[in-house]
Amino acid sequence: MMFQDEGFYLSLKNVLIFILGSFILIMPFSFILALIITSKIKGKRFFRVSYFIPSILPLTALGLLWQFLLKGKGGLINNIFVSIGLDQWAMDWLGDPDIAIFSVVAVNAWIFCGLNMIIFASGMVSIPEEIYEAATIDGANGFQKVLYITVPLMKEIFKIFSILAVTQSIRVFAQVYVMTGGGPNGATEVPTTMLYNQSFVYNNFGGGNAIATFIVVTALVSTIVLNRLFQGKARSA
Amino acid sequence: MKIGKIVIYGFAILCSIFFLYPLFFNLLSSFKDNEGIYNEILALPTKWRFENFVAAFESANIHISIINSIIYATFGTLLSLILGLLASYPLARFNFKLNTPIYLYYTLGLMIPVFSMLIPISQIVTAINGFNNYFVMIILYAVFELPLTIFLITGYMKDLPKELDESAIMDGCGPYRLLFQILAPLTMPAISTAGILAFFGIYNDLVWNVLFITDHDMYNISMGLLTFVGKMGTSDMGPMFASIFITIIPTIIVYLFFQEKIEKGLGSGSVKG
Repeated sequence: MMFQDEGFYLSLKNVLIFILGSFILIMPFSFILALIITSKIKGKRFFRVSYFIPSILPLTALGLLWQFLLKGKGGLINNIFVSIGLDQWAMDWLGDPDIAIFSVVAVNAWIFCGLNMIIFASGMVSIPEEIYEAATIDGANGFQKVLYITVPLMKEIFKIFSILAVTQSIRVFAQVYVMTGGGPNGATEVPTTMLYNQSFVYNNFGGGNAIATFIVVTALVSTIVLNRLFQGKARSA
Repeated sequence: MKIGKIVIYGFAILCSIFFLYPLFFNLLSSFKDNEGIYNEILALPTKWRFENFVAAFESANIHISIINSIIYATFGTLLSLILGLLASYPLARFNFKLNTPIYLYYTLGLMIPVFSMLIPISQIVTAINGFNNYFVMIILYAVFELPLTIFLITGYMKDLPKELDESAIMDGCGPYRLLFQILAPLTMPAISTAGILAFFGIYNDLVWNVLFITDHDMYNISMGLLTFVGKMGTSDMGPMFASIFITIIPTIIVYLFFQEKIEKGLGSGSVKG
């Protein structure tokens, strides 16, 4: 029955958008932030704290805050667009079924960039300084150093990030539950919120259990497959 | 070179505005009325409405929610650490045949999302009539944090030299003393990481409180906020922003005190989890 439900496929598509969001928004952005906080600039500590803070705050509080910032009428984001003359950009970010899921994914990225920045930074500080010095002597510029030294030497961290991006996207719940509750019209539903709504709102425990089984199987399979995939690559490389 | 530096600083500052401004907006709005929130997004409040905070305490009971969250998190974390330490000790230090399958069984809990257990657990809690019960909630939270706790503590304890145990036993040290006075202090880095992860996880919990708590006096911060906002709607947003801000403050204070430990803990925890 679950497989005949269109909403179920929509929820899978939304998880996919979360995964894509991790790679398109979180990965490059937190990588750059990690470069900033591991570089030699002054005020590193302040930057580090300010980027990291959203990751530790209660998701419910942040979700509610963003719900109001993204409101169609009078929300902060729209107010900013209007005040700089971009009226046509003002939208009902969470109320329009076509864009709501992208708004949620963007907020999710805003929340978790800092955490991933710490993960990337931990990989960056373990790269020996001598390699960069040697590259400087050979005449490499900053951009080349990042591209040819930092990125290749951080392969392990990128693997970990990819596994996390998939496994954590399957678990997304609070952000969606708080900001949209799965609406408008099921447009932002993910499997976990669907499970919750089916079981505890519509009292359809059978349907809920089917989704629960699906979540367990996908989580286990994706973790095992990703681990295998990356281990295999590491060995051949 | 100079220009490059300016670009980097500019970008760094822009990013910190990007991450901090929404929180700053929240702080400003918590002192404003609807008019000010909608129309003067950058300005300081013309009149500082401290009554918003009074409303957050009096009609949202946000302080009770914070105390509840702290109760759940403290006791849940303690229970999880004690159980985790007791489970990790034989797993890490003894040579039982079943150690590997038992360890795998525990860590399976890391791979299975808790949401898949919503229904079975809600039925268990219904069967024992465990709604609105601190004891039930604390056990639930502790058990959900247990796989990660065991994973972190066992992994660390395994690497301590075996000679420690041998010489301690030689000197007549019993297993309890060995665990709590010799191994536990040496495992502190892993224990504190596990503790931080458990504490934040439980403090910020949403779904279990939604399911099992209906009594307003037992709401945690998530439920406290959600009900308050649901009740108020958008008619008066000042108190709502005030209550959001109050729930954020304890976390920020704890973070600033234990900054490095928390960053390391959350970083390594999510890497391994």
